[in-house]
Amino acid sequence: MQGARREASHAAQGERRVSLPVDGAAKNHLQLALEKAPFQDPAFPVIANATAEAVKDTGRARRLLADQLRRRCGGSSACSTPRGCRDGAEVRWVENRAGAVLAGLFEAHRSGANVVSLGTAAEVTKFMESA
Amino acid sequence: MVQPCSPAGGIEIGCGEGPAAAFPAARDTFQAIDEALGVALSKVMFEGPEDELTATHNAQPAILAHSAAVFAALGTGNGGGIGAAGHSLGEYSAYVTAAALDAPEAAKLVRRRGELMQKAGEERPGMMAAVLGLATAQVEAACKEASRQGSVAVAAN
Repeated sequence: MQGARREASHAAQGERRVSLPVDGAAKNHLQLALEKAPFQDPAFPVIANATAEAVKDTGRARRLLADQLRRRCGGSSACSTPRGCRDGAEVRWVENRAGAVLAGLFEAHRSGANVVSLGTAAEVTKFMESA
Repeated sequence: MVQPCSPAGGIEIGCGEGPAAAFPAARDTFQAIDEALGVALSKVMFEGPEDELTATHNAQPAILAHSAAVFAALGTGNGGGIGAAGHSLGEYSAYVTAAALDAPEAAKLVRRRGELMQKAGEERPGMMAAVLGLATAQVEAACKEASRQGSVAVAAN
């Protein structure tokens, strides 16, 4: 009944939303797994998909990883320079995986960004030699 | 240096095999993840079969394992990073690079995440489509229009 009311309310706003019970169950199960996982505070800020904020503590990390399952993942948030990073630091973006999924995203969002994709042994070796 | 980590999708047989062969730290990471999961995930990554590798519950930890192995091979520890980010699944990899989660624990989490997503998809079948070259507002408008036909369409990313 509550769900029906919510749906009607969204419909009145020109939207159609349907609550999917399995979504909630999945989030709850994941939340439990996250609570049990041994987390430490990140050594440097991590950008959360759910809110685009720079996460610096364990509790917030767990919460936002669970929220992420049911919320829109903002592609542009993955391209944000973490607030609280060292001022004036030259930012180099390193994608640790073969291919260029994020490199393309970065080029679309941040013209001239210094992005490198590392997936093969040759790419890793070249990167280490240039560092 | 900021470490962006990749989302799910686009995984291929052979991914990670080169770094595992060339860098002991990468090899150790794959081995630790295999032991934590209780399955030879790295063997599936290096040799297939493809349908097993691309199943959500394997693909998600495989992508994370690849990111974690490359990061371990770099050996930069935390000193070289000033931040991390990742899209969707990649957010877990980002926490690995930020030393908040160790790779085997993160692999267990994303395997669980993959299992839950797989189950949800089976119970409520749906599909995804990639839209290139349209502004967010245009995609949202198209989703709204499609949702009037009795289905639910959302712009997820």
